[in-house]
Amino acid sequence: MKRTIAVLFAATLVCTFSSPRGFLAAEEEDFSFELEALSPEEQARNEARRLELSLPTSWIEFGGYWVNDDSFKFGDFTGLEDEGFEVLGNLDLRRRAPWDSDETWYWRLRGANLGLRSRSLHAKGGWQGFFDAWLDFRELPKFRNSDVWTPYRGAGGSLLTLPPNWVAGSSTTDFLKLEESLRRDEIKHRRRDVGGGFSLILPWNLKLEASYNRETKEGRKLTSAVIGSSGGVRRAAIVPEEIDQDTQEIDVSLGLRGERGQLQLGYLMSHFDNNADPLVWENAFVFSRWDPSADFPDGRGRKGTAPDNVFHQISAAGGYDLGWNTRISGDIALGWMRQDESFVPYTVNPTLAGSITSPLPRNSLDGEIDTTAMNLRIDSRPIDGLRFNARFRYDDRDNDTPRDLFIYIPGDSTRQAGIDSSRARINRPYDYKVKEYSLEAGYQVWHRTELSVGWDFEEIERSFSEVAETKEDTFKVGLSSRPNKYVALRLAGEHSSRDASDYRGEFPFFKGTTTEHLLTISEDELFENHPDLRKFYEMDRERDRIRGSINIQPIERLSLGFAFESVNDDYENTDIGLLHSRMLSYTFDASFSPCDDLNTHAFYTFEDFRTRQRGHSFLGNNVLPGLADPGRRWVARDVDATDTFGLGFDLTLLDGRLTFEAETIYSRSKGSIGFETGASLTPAVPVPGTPTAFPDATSHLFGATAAARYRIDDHFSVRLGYAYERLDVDDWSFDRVGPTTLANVLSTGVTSPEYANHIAAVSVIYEFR
Amino acid sequence: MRKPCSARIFGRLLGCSIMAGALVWLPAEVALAESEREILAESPAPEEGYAEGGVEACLECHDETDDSPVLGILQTPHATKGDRRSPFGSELGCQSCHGASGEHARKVEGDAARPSVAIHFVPETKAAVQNVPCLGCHQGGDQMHWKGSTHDTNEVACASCHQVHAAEDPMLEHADLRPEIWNRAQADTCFGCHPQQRAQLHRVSAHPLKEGQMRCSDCHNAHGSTGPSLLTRSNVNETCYQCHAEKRGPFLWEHAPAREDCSNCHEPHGSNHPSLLSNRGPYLCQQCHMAPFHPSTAYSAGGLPGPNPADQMLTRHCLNCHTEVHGSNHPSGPRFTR
Repeated sequence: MKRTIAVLFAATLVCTFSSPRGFLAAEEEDFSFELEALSPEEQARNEARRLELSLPTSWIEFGGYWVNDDSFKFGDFTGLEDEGFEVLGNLDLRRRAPWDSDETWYWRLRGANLGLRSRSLHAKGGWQGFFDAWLDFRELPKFRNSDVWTPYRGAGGSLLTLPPNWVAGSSTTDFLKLEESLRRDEIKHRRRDVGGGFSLILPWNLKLEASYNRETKEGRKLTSAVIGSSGGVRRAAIVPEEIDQDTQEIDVSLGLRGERGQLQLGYLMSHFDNNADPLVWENAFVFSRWDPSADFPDGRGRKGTAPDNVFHQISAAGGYDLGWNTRISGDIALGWMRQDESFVPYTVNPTLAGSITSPLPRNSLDGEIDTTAMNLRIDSRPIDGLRFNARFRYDDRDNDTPRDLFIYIPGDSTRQAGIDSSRARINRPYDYKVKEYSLEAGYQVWHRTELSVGWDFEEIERSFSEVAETKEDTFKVGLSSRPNKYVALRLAGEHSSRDASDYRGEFPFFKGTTTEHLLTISEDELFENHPDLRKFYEMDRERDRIRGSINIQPIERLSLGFAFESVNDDYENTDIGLLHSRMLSYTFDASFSPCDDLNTHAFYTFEDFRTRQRGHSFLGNNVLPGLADPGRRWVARDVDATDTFGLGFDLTLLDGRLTFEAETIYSRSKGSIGFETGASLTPAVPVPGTPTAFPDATSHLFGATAAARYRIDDHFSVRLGYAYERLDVDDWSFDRVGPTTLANVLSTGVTSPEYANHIAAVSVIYEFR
Repeated sequence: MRKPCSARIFGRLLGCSIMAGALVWLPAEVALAESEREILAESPAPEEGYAEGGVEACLECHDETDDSPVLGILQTPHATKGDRRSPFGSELGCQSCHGASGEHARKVEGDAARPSVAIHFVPETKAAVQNVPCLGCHQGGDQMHWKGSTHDTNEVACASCHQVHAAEDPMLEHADLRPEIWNRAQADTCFGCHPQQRAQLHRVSAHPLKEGQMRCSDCHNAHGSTGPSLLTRSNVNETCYQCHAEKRGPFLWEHAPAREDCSNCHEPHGSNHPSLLSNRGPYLCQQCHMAPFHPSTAYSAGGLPGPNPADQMLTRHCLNCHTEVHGSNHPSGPRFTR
């Protein structure tokens, strides 16, 4: 209590001395006033001041950052990843015709973070109401890991080789020369966007707009270099892979704007071009169950790359006011996704390639998905206080990619099998079609208090999937009230019920393999997944969603808010798979401005997301007894809880010459897993040293920023900034996992991020009009 | 399955015909209607309640000393007199938006309270009333689907987010280039009503909104859209492909939930798990994969570093081998290992 009184007292003092009008002076002002005749001198002075304020302010800022330590995670997206000094450079230069002239020209050049790898430049100019043109340049760095350890040479290229003295083995612990072979690598990439465009106002209320953007993405990412097929006969190494991608986008639209109706026609083209060659690597392993040619030293593997693709879309959108406060609007967009990149061969291994008797059925995919998106809406407020909305949405992805038989070679490790093998696969080009109908009505039952009800119906059709069709009904009710300027209240509830058509667990399996292979499987075992598995995204579901908020303004300068949301999903007809998920979130918000020159705010958000899923562990060589054994079931309960606190203020002193702002954020999360297994899965004699429970995965992020700006005169200002950020993550997925921790996967030793960094910034700002 | 060529062509032609028909359908008045703005551009009629004197008359009283300073508008497109489409391009000036406010401008006698302007952009005024002047000019393009949109039906006024009198509207494109390195002017406005998303962006894995390198409007059109959740494109995936075009395909080997909806596995606003995953591996994958051997294995704490660490639980979990989960175009990649 004493602390509260002290804070309020301090705020009172600050306001009293910072504002010429004093604490809560605004409350005492009377809105009515008498116009007084101004002297000619005062009028001239006012006119001069108005003229000055009508001229856009340009400014240039130059200075430096100092960062106390290297950290990839801290520098992610900002470019402040290195210890030391960086140039601070920002600018905003602009001119426009005097507001009260007949001219409309303008131009503007903006630059941000010019000394960093997150720099951007934006130039725009033209004649308002006739022609605008712009150019954009932007870089965005992504820093993933700075301590990646790998024995491979040639990172960033298309061929990864092992050191000459490499000693191979069937397990990572057999790599006797690993430690001396490890080299540190950095995993990062950079996006660079260059673009431009124009808009032109044409007669008859037409507007033509066109833009072009080209984004290049270069760097490295981590990928898995796998030899062998899935299960016990595969080995993998986590390695760097080159990124060299190029995406070009053209967007053209022609808009027609009338008083009652609007129409817009558009064309969009997005072309993705992957310049990176498929990654080839030398196999670090030897393994008796592979073809000998796959072993070290001659064995190699090759990955595919993301294929070039192109997307064209033409669209039309329109809206028309029918009268009686009723508007009809809709749009249609037809698109074509094409992909026809040449296939790489089944294998890079020449010995295994020699075993191929069923060659590739085609040289490229000739893949095509035709997309159709269509919407129609009617929104009406026919009488005061009543509204009505009806809409229809149609989203169709019609996959016209041809289907073929591919007898693949698993992980460049074995000879090609026959058509009756599990490796004889037919591709499944998934179609997806959504139809959504929605009705909603709201009625003002009291002064600015609306009660609304609604109904949504969504129907999804899928091909090659376990469920051909799902239908979901959603009933909604809401209350929204703003009875006066002091209170705003919202409350909404929804209940959704999703029904799936017959679940055919074996259907995708049948569609993806050959009849010859199916004949080799006993009838009781004709499935791929556990027969009781139900995939959550296409399964029966009961969803309850409640959300609400209340904002109160007891006095003009104080605002208090509370918001919450809860989403509860039950997959009632699921025995194996995701059974239940729940999300709960609530937030307290407050802002207080004891005077015009001091604004404070604070918030606290709690989020809790939890899931419960059930599995059934069974082996392929003992399928039916395994399925029948209830003791082989397991349940995983995952709980993610996150608290986020924020507190900040901004303050203006010395009649506006000194501004100060500060903010602090603290976010902590805890991920817990509860795991239960049936009696058949519990080892009768526990292995000494085996963990019996999951540790919590936690993260703590603390950030504090403060900035002050002192205006020396009308042109010069000095700005001082300071930021501190500390992140501490404990995640059992990464911590204590060295390159040889996993027997079959040569990993990189990447650990959870952790840093505590300080930044100081000093700059001078020069302003001019 | 490839459909008969004639059916595909018919479908496409039908779509194109609808678009062409839309052009014809829109009444000629749309294209030829005399702009209301042009009508309003005539001299204001005092008998209709408008004040005379234009912008200058308002500026006699309203300037930078107001509780809400107004002169910043003179630096903005709204105040460009030379553009007849702009509010100041008409003789009405401020009344283009604030409505006929002759009573407000008239001299007040004695202690009588000064009447307010016709449209006052404050919370006490209904959002639908506040938005009328804005929609008079901004009802095409990105604002085409405002009426009936989530924000419209929830009584959000344009002025709740936009600052028309300020020299810089924080919501506008590139307004984020203020001289602060972690600038998120637009996002801070959105967080006023969407606090959960504000908290999520401080998670370990998040899109770069916190760093000011992305804006909410990169994915959402707050003015209304035809996609779900006010997305800028028709569906979730098309929105994601704007920056992740390499995942668009189509691929030879498709991963069904990825083709359908990226949010089946990802939480776009921020996650405690790497790569914005909505749940931890391998359990996320096991919600849909329960085949014999390792896909159905009970990955208990016994798989942590110790005597028997599990390949599928640590580092990239299932992605230690199945690295191409978004789809593979390698003929030997049906299991997404190539």
